[in-house]
Amino acid sequence: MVSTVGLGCNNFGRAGTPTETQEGTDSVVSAAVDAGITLFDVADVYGKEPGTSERMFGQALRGLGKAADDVVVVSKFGMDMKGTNGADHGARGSRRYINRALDASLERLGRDHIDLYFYHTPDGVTPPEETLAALDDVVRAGKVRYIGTSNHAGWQIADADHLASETGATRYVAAENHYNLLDRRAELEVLPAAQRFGIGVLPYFPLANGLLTGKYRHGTAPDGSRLSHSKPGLLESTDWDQIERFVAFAAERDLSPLDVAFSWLASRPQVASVIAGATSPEQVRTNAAATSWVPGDDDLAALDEIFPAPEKIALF
Amino acid sequence: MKKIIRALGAVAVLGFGLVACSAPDADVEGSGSGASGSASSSEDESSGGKDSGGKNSGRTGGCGASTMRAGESWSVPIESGGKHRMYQVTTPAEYQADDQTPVVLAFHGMYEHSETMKRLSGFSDKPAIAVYPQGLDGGQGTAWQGAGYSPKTDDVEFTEDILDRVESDLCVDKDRVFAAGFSNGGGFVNLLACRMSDRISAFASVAGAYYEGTRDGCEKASPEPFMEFHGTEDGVMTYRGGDGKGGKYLSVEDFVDEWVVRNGCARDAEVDHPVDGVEHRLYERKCRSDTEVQQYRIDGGGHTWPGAPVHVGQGRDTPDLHATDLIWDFFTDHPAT
Ligand SMILES: NC(=O)c1ccc[n+]([C@@H]2O[C@H](COP(=O)([O-])OP(=O)(O)OC[C@H]3O[C@@H](n4cnc5c(N)ncnc54)[C@H](OP(=O)(O)O)[C@@H]3O)[C@@H](O)[C@H]2O)c1
Repeated sequence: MVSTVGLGCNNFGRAGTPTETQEGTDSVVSAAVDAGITLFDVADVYGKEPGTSERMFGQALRGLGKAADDVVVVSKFGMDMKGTNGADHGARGSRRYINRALDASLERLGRDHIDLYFYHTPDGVTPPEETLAALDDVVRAGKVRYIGTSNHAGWQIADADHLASETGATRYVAAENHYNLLDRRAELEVLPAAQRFGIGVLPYFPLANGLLTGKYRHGTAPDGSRLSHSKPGLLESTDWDQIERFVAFAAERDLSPLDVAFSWLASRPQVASVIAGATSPEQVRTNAAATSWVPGDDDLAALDEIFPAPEKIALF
Repeated sequence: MKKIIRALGAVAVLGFGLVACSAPDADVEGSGSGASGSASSSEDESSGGKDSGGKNSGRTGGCGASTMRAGESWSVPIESGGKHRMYQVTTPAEYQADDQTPVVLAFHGMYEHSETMKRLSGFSDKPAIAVYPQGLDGGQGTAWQGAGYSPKTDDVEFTEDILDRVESDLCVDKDRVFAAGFSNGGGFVNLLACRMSDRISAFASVAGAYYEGTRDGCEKASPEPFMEFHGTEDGVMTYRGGDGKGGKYLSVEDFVDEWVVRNGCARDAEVDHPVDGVEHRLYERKCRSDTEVQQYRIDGGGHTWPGAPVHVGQGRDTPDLHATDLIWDFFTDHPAT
C-alpha cells in the first residue's frame, strides 16, 4: 500500500532550491512523513551530480529514526550515470549493469533493499527478457521487493508482462510515466495497457512543472519559482487562456488549481500514487492534502473541455 | 550488407549481455555468453554436448568463461521451440570456471515454480551446478510434458536447449549430468531417462506422476540408474496407481519393476530400513551396464519431498530421510560410462 501522493525527490540537492542543502531536504522529508506520505520517488541519476538525491534522501531517512521503517523507497536505474557505474556501452538494461547500479544505489541510500525499483527508460538494445531475468534475480536475492517500468510505451509494458508470465519471471507491477491535465498522452496507450495487466500507474509531472499550480499567470512567474529560472521557454509556449479557464474552474468549486490537478489524476483508473516534487515543507503539506476532492461526471466533462483528451490515432 | 552487420551487432549484445553494437571486442571480462536470448556463436555449437559425439568427456565451451562466478544464482531467459522460457541456475560455492563441475537438473511439480524446487530440493548446496527449469503454463497451471494437463510444448527439447546453454556458459562435467524431479517433474524425469540418456547419466523421482505420456519412447530405452521415493499415503499420486488429473498412471511397484526389467536386474532386492517406517530396496544384482534401481517406500508418507526444509505437497513429511542427500550420493555413484 502506498499513499495517494508520493514525494518526488528529483530536486534534492538541486542548486537554487531550498532542498539544495541537507537541512532543506530533511525538513521536506520529515514534513512529508508527518503529512502521511509513504512513497518517496528517487532515482540514481537525480541530483546535481548523479547519486546526490539518493545520498541526501538516505541521510534524511536515517534522521527519521523508526518512522523510516514505514517508508516505501522507490529508486530507478537506466539513465546515463556519466560513468559512475563504469562503462555501460548504452546497455543499461543488462544484467551486469543492473547489478552494479543496484549495489551503488543501495550504498548511497544506506539500505539493504529498495521497495520498488524502476527501469527508468528502455535502453533500446538489451532484449527485454534479459532485463526481466536480471531483475528477477535481484528480487529473489531480497535486494528489491517489486519492480516497475518508467517511460515505457504501452506495447513495451504489454510485451514485458507476456514475457514474465510465459517465463515465470517476476512481473512489473508499476509504471511511472509523464501524465497530467496538460499532457494526457498516457491515456492513449500506457493507461489501457496498465489496466489490462493490472499495473499501477504513478504519474509524474502532476503539476506540469508548476504550471498547474496557478502561480504562473500570463507569462509572469513568482520570484524563486522553478520555471522562471530553469525553463523560461515553457512560459512562452503556454496557452494562458487555457490556464485562466482552469483557474476559474477551480475557483468556482472553492478549490485551488493544485487540488484539481492532483485530485483529477488520483481519480483516473489505475493511478496508484501521484508523484509530486516539492521544495518546501509547506508545498509538501499542501500536496499531501490535495487529493481529497472527488470529481463528478460533470466536473470531468468540464475538465475535458479545458484539457481535451488526446485525439485517438485509430479506432481503438 | 548493412543489415547483416546490424544483425551481428545484435548477436554481440545478446551473447555478451552488455556490449554495445559498435564495440563487440570491448568486453574485457571475456565471458563466453551472457544471460540472454537465443544467440549462440559457432564456437558454442561445436562445444555444445549434443554434437560432440561419444559419451561424453571433453571440456565444454563454458570452461574458462566468466559468465557466472561461484555461489551465484541467475534466472536465465532462453528461447526454445519458438517460446520464451526460463530456468534458474546456481553455481556452487567452490565453482571455478576451469573445473569441470557436475550438473543437477531439478524439475518442479505441477502448479509450482522453479523457485519452489530450488528451496524444496536444496541441490544448490551440493558441489554441483543446480539448474531449475521453469515449466510452462498451458492454461491449467505450470507443468511438464507427459500428463493430460501438460501444455503443448516439447520439454525434452527444452531440456536439450538448457543443457546446450549451460555447457556453453559454464564448465560442465558432461559425464556427470543428472536429473531429479518432484511429482509431475518426477514423471518428466522418467521421460528424460528414456529419451535423453545420451546426455544425462542418472535419474531420480520423488512422488512421481507416471502417466502414459511419461513413458513415451521407453520401449526403446537403454538401462539407466534410477531412484524412486514414494509415500504409501500419497494422496495426490497414490502408491497403487490409478486415474488422476492427468489421466491413468502406473502404480509405484509397476513403475519400479519396469526399470528393474529394463536394466536386466534380478527381481529380488536387498532390503534395509534406513529410518523407521522406510523400506529401502536396492536392485543391483545382474543389472546391465553398471546400472541399478533403488526404491524408498515411505510407510504413511504423503506427497512430499523427504527431508525438505519446506513443506510442499500433501500429507505427512518424512523429516528423518534426506532425499536430496541420498539422491546426490546415488548420482555421484553413477557418472556416464
Ligand atoms: N520517471 C521519470 O522519468 C521522471 C521524470 C520527471 C519527474 N519524475 C518524478 O516526478 C517528480 C515530480 O516532478 P516535478 O517535481 O518536476 O513535478 P511537477 O509536479 O510537475 O512540478 C513540481 C513543482 O511544482 C512546484 N510546486 C510543487 N508543489 C507546490 C505547491 N504546493 N505550491 C506551489 N508550487 C508547488 C514546485 O516548483 P517551485 O520550484 O516553483 O516551487 C515543484 O518543484 C520528480 O521529483 C521525480 O520524482 C520522474
